[in-house]
Amino acid sequence: MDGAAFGARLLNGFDPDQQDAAWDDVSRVAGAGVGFAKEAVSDPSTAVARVKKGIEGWAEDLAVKTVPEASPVADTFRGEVDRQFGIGLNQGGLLFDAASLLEGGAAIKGLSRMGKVARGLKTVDHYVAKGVPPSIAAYFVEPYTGMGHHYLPRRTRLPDLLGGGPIPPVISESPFFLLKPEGIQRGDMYELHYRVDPHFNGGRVPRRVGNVKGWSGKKLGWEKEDSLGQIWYGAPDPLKATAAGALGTGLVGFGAWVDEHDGEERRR
Amino acid sequence: MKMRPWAEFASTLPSDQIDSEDEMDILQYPGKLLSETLAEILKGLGYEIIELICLHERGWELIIRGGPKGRSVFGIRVTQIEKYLIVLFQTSWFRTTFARRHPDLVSVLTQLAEAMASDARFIDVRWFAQEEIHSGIPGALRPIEP
Repeated sequence: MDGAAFGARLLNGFDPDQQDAAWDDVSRVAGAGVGFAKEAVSDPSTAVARVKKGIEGWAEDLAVKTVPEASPVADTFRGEVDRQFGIGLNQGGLLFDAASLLEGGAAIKGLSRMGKVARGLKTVDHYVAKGVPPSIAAYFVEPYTGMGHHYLPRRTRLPDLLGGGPIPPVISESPFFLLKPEGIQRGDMYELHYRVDPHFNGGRVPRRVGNVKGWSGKKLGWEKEDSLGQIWYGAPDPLKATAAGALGTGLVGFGAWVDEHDGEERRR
Repeated sequence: MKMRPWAEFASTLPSDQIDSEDEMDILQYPGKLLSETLAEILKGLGYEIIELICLHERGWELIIRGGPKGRSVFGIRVTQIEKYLIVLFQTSWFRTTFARRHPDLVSVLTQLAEAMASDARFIDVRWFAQEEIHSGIPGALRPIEP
């Protein structure tokens, strides 16, 4: 949901339910602001502490967004990323609205659209020519139906300061952190997984595919990215643009810092 | 020291791959049962089992914690192609980057390899470095080569 859409909801007389909900949001935010102002007058030290905690929480959140591991992005998928970015704005709600405003989301969206490139679908012959058994080749050209590639590893947990526990889907499934281009073929998606996931080397196929039980990326001639390549190619385009614009080359440092909070000290 | 954190092997454990009724897709990728078996073994070795995560086409990921100070966190990715293929790794990005052969990793690899070698459910366990997987070389009997 972006600012313009929210404004439209406020003024949308054709859908009273949506309009009421929007005004309720305004009322809640205003109420919270008034409450905070009162507290600041009556108890300044508590108010200062709350502001500090809020800033720390924001910094933690920003760090969580930059955990360097996982997933793939080739330039040819930019069009699909653009589509998911729009959907994710709705799903991500206020959190990503704020992040987008702070980190140049509108520009990211524009860049993503400008970078739209048509993606050609591979054929069975393409894979067979590379030595892939025909039954696997036929499986690879089917549409991908999996969960996509998560930039934040699924084992990642929130820092204690943010309550611990899994990363909320509103973040992990957002277009900043999930790559699942619509219409992508299985073979392309598996290759992306293989390139940027250092712990993935191949997998099984359904029994109907035939005598061949599975595929190995190494045997298919696919190549792994190095550490930096995994960070870069594993990031969806909106995240790349956000990170480049707002954080520069700070991803690696943030990753190390997040490890200190998330890795060795992780909660159950 | 040469470290080979990948292992490929067959197993007497039953296949737990579940295909959809029309066999068009895989509902459950294989490796859950093996992951749970490894979890049992590692628990017996004193490691704490944190969670088992389904990664769909990328297999299963078992997260454990242990080591001398009880604080090191490791992941074990389990997949099956023809044989089972597992890799044991440090979840810490810092250690993965700057301490690839951390003593705690060497320790858990050694313990796991010994346990698997003496367990009849694992057949012909061979250990590999990343670049050695599916390259045609037979693999080593142990993950750590002094």
